[in-house]
Amino acid sequence: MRAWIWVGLLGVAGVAATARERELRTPRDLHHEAYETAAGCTRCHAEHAQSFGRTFHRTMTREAKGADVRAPFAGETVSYFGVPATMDKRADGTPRMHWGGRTVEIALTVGSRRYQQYIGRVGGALQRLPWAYHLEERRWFHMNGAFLTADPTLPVTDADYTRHVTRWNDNCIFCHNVRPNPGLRAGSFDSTVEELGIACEACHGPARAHARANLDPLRRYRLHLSRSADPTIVNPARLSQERSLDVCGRCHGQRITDDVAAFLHEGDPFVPGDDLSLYSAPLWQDTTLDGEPGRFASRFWDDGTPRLTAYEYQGVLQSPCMKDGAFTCLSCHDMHAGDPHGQLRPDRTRDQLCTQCHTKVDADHAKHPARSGVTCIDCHMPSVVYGVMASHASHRIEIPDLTRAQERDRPDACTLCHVDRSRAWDTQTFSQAEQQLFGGDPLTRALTAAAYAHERLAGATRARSNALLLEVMEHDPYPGVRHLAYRSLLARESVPTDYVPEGTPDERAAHVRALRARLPHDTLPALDALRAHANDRAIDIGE
Amino acid sequence: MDPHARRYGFCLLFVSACLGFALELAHALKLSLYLDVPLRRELLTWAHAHGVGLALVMLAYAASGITEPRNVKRLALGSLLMPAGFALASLDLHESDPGVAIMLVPLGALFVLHALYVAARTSLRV
Repeated sequence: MRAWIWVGLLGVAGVAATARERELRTPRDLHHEAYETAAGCTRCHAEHAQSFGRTFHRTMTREAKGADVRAPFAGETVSYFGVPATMDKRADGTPRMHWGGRTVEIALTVGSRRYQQYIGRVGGALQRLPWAYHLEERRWFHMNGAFLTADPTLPVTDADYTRHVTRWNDNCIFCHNVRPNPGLRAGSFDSTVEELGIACEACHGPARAHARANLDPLRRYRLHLSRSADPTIVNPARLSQERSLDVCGRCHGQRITDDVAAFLHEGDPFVPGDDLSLYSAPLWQDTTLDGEPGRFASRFWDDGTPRLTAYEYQGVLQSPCMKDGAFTCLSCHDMHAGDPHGQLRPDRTRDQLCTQCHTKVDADHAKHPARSGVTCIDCHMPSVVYGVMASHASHRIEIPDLTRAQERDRPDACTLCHVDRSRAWDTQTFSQAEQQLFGGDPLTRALTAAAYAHERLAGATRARSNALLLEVMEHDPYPGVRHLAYRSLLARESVPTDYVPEGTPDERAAHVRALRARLPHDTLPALDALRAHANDRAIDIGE
Repeated sequence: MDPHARRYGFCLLFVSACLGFALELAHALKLSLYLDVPLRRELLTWAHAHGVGLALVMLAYAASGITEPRNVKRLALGSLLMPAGFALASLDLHESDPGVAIMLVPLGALFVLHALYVAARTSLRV
């Protein structure tokens, strides 16, 4: 009798184990699964929640409450070309922005690393408001300064003032939250997200089924011991190269879809593990919009290299590193470790990010002495990308080529560092960097101005650099360019921090006059000929 | 007093007290391997607590005068498996889950419960 009981028990256990094995081997369609939210994930994955919680991804979008509002909102008044705005709080602590007879209460904040933008309800939608708070510079700035558009003509119109007041519901919502759905119905928005900010399920997919299935300890230990993948959740590190890149590329690679209406009605259907191309295509230099060619061309250098942030996906796809079949974003980045600034893998130095694959690099390969501190990234991922008021490393990993740069009219790694040289490697009246600083288009000028902050700048004298940067700060018509020139000056000199790049010409002239009085500076040759080449066009950054 | 139960009880008490001393030492020396892993701390603390507690139970049982050789073995096995399960599981953590050795704990608990049941039943009869 007892033996039969044991046989029965073993039989039940065998059937249960077989069913579990089958369940673990069966791929799951996660598209219709429910979301769990980070609070649910944290119950079991406290360490991962904690490590991701440190990142700027996690705090990307927040309700405008308490410490998540990083600007003072203490009654301060700021002004853009004579039009003032006042920031304060309602009695219950809700932050408000007042300008031009309008008062808007802030509902959400977006951004937590460089600057924080404020989203308020205007009409039936949530709108990004015209002023943002720069977290690193601890100052308010007008959003026109964050984009590469020229100063407005006076008097400033409402259209100029609100040029970058854009709707959150069908723009920012997509990449800055989990499971975004604009919810457009009959011309109005009923937007929903599963979770504000970029949380666990943005990269791992909906996790309710995963959480429920793993209440079973035997299932968990079966997975622990076998190290096999759990079909109820996505681990980007286990995906193929293409699918892993798609997870990041959804937001770090601007895209276009043939069915915008579906996105606006139902939200982004992409779930990690999906083929991104099923729903949308990355924007390229030759992508057309409604049959119109060249609509996005200004977002790329002439050789097709992206020159704006949020095109890292395209840059990686263009890189020869892709050919090995294993290279993904996770080859260099780690979402759960390292410095949140850049989120580079902490287990490798900057050069080891490259030498993990390129193991046979000669000692003299770089042609720079080790003491110069030049890294692989400096030359192979030059800072030729602009975004969020800063320059960034290109994610098109490439071999530097001065001839190609000359032919394709784009900055190159060599002369962005050797700022006293031409591309023929001689010294002329104006170096390549100086030609770009005054004769490039606004984006080239911005990146070149940013290059002067580089601590390893070669061939730059203090007086010449100061003269160049002060000239840009006073006269460049683009606040984005002036801002980066000012940042470079701050990196090189100890000067007051009250210069406002978005200020009026008179305000700027007064500041620069004061700075010239205290800083050594050369007298520059006439710049008119260079400026005549400047291609002053607004760079459509797109959002 | 049952000599087997007494011998086993004191040995287990000694080993568990040594573990307690080791944990205090880990605090004193700020050992990150112990202090920085909350689950490992919890498991080792439980291993220590269960070891001491069950050793005292064994000594009380030894002194009770109602011991049965088979039940002493049962209690000894349970009181060995439980702290050992906690301790061994702390060596191989899987994020929020202890190592697979944690399976020894419920197994040991069954032995302990069975032994306590037998002891309770015997005490009612005596």
